[in-house]
Order: sequence, then C-alpha cells, then structure tokens
Amino acid sequence: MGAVPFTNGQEGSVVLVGPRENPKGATVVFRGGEDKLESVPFLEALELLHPEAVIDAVCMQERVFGNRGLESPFEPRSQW
Amino acid sequence: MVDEPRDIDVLIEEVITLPSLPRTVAHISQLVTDPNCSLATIAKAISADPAIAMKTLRLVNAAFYGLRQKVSTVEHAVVLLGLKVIKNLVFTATVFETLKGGVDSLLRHSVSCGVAMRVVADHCENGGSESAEEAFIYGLLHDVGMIIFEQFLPEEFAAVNATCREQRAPRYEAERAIIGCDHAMIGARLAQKWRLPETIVNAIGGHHDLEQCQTDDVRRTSAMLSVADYICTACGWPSFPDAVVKVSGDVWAASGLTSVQLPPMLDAYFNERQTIDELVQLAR
Repeated sequence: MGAVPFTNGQEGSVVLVGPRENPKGATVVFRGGEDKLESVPFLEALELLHPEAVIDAVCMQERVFGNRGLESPFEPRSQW
Repeated sequence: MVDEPRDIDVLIEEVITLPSLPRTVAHISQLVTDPNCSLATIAKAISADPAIAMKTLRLVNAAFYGLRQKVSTVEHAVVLLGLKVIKNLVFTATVFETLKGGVDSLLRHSVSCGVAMRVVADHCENGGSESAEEAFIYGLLHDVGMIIFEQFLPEEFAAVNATCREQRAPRYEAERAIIGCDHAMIGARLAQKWRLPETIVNAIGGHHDLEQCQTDDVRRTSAMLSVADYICTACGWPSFPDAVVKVSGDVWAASGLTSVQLPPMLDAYFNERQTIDELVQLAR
C-alpha cells in the first residue's frame, strides 16, 4: 500500500496478501528496535494507523482479494 | 467561456434555477403533518402520481427495507410502514428521479453513500439520532448540488472536472476557485427550498466544511457524511472518476469513529453490495 504515517509519528507499510477472512491476509510492517524490520497482523495494529489508512487498506483488500462484488482497482474506468 | 467566480446568492439569482420539490411529495409532506388526515387519503395522494407510486412500491419491496411479505398496493405499504417511513420512501423515490438526470457514477455514488451513511450511523458511538431512512436520505442527497452545476454551469462544470483530473484536487476546492461556491453549499440551498428539516440542510451544507455546522449534532452528522463519502470512494464508487476525497482530523474527531471500530463497520458495508445494486437499478 505504500508508506503510511503512524499515530506515534513513525512510518511503515501495510502489506496485503490475501482476503479479509485470512488473519494473515494483511500485515503492518515497520522499522523496530535496532532498525530491524518488524511485522504485526493488521488487526492487531489498528491503533497505530490513522482511520483513513484503515479504510484504504480494508477496502483495497476487499477489492483485490474479496468476493463480495466490489470492483477491482485494476479495471479500467470510463471518464466523464 | 468560463465566467469569473461569483457569490452563491448572485448565482442563484441570475443563473441557477433550483428545481421545486415535485407537487406529489410536497402534498404528501403536508398531509403527513395533518393529525386529521387518514392513511387512505395519503395512499390516494401517492397513487395519484403513477411514476412515484410505482417507484415507492418497488422501494418498499427492496431488501433494503427488510419486509418479509411482498407489498403490492400503496395502501398496504402505508399501513405496514407508517407515515414517517412512507414520507421518506416517497421522498427517496423523488430524489432518484432527480439523480438519474446526472451521470451514472454520481447516481451509484449517491446510493452507495446513502447505504454507507446508514451503516456509519449504526456504528457511531452514542448511536445516531437519525433513523435508518433519514441517514439514507442524507447520503443520497449530499452531492445533488453537482447535478445543479452540470445543468446550469456546464462550462464551469467541465473546467472543474479538468482541474480535479489534472491537479488531483478535491472537487469542492476546484468548485470554490472556479465557480465561487461548492456543490455542498448549493445542495444545502436546494434542501432549504424543498423545506427539508434544518438538520438535513445544515448537514449537506457542512459535509465539506464543518465550520458551517451550528450545533454539535449537525457537526456529527456532517462528519459522518464525510466519512461515508470517503468509504464509497475507497470502495471504487466515487462521484466521478479519480475523485480525491480528504477527511481532516477535525472530521474524524467529530464523527466519534476510531480506527478500531472501522473493520467490522466496513464488513457490514461490504455485505450491502447487493442492496446497493438493487437500489441503483430501482433508481434508473
């Protein structure tokens, strides 16, 4: 999903790999102690994320991996 | 040729003719507030407008309203649902007629936002003071001002579209710079002309500017509208292609929603996908 600012002033990424039903379908990745790369399951990291970032990630996850009929972000869209 | 930006009062006086509320809806709104009026009289008033009557019946039977039995007459609908819900249903049917005059993406966005608003209202802390039908109407109407601009200021409307595409600007910013006011402000004037409750007028007017909201209740409703708008765009149902929607920290605070509340709320919204499709078909 690209760089995402955290509520604690740090920065990280949200990585989407599977549907919402899979607890490992989304992960939050960031630099932890000693500059080591760390990851936390998305639903356990919600308080680190601003509300807009949560909406962006959950909606994108559903659009890419879900089966409830949301339009894929990869489909072309007509212009006005 | 695109004119210089103008004050909203000048635009309404000289350029824009805000449409009147269709007579059927105005008449029914009046009847509903009359304590001496019978259900049969109200049913007759609805039936007098076949287009609205048909749309109202189709709406009643939509999964959105959760009735277990099929309703085949307006009289039955009035008895089952009561006056307030029927009034909202007839109003919704009328708004659908207005929205279908605009582009399809706006119709889908407005319906999606109506459903989103209902879900958001359900999940907000302190609950929403709005009923499910009222929350739906807020969402349905919030961008109706765009249709007014498209109809009466086509060149400025096209210039706004181009600016939004090229500069990735939020639509209301481009409208204020090019036209002199934004679709939320015009939408509020239309809601006012239609004599809708002040809460709806102010919530529509404030959905891109919380400073317009005069009470905490209206601020919260406007904030919920902004969030519903953002959710629809993130789901791939923007008001127009590549729309940019922003939600400020003030708006999140006013909505009362937290990051932790969002995933289950969004799941509830995703589960309404078929309802949205059904309502869009009804509206066309």
